[in-house]
Amino acid sequence: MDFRRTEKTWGAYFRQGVKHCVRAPGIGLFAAMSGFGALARDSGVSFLIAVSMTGGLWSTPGQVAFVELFATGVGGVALIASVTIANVRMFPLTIATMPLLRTRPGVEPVHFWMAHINSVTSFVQVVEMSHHVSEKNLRAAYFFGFTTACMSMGLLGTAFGYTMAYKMPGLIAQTLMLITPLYMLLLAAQSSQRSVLTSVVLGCALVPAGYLVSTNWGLLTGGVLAGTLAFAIDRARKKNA
Amino acid sequence: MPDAVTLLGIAVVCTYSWRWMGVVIAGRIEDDSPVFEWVTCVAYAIATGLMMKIILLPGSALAESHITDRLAGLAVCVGVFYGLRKNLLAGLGAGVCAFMLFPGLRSLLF
Repeated sequence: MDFRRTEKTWGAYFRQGVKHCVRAPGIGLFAAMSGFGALARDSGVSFLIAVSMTGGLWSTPGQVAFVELFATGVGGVALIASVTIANVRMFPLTIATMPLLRTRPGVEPVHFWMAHINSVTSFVQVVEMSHHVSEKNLRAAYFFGFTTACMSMGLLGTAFGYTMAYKMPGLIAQTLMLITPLYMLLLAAQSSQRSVLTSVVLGCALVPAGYLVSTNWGLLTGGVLAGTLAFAIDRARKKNA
Repeated sequence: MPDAVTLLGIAVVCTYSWRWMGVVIAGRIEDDSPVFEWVTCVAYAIATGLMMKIILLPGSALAESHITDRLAGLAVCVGVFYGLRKNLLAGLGAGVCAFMLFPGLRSLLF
């Protein structure tokens, strides 16, 4: 991927960011969010809520946890706790992204907006881009271009999935709903970190099992248990190595 | 249960607080500390576990599809993904096609 531009302006790098998003990452995101839109419609939330969820939460696990738990009718506290913990990834993600983008040490108001529009997809892209672009203001321009395009694709996808889901025959609507889980599983499997892959395997086993035990708290307890186990296994492996 | 708007409002504030804390703390602590590794593990376990729950025990209209069709979709998806050196779009496309074609295949075979 070509990150460098001959014209070293904010606009040129912003446009480059947009261009890089409207390829594989953007298409994947659109597909995943149209799946979310279909799931949201099925769970009974309104169109406006579904789109606001994409714009306001901007994190697929939390959004999907919200509509899945809303549809099952679990208690409000269990729903909020599950969504919040499902989005905990945003904390280390922000900490890892900020040093790559800020022009000088310290917190600026714009960082709070950057943190909101950031996502796992954007972070991966920013890390790759920062190997090629050393000027911090141009990195920020690229980041804004890429993330703005990502958010637009996500919002369009949500609206598309929500409005199309019930007009389609059953099988097509169901396929739409299957896209998000498959996409998210592959996104996680792309990681080269062994601790992440262990977490994926254990999470896939323990979360559905936890859900069978308790509809309200299974997602949270199964996930925390699986993640902690994976972490412990990774620590033990590193110690022995 | 409170209505969807209230729940969403609270969820947005709670989710944003993670990002807010990240901005404030960034640069003051190492991002390769064990705490982060643990948070990452839990986050991935919850996210992927939830996705597997949707495939195995869907709460949506997906429940009307046959479990073997969903598992066939997942198997083809993962197989193609790893077969083509972790190609996400190819894996996703193949999995989706398998899910759509498998009901027909199943009725021919059984």
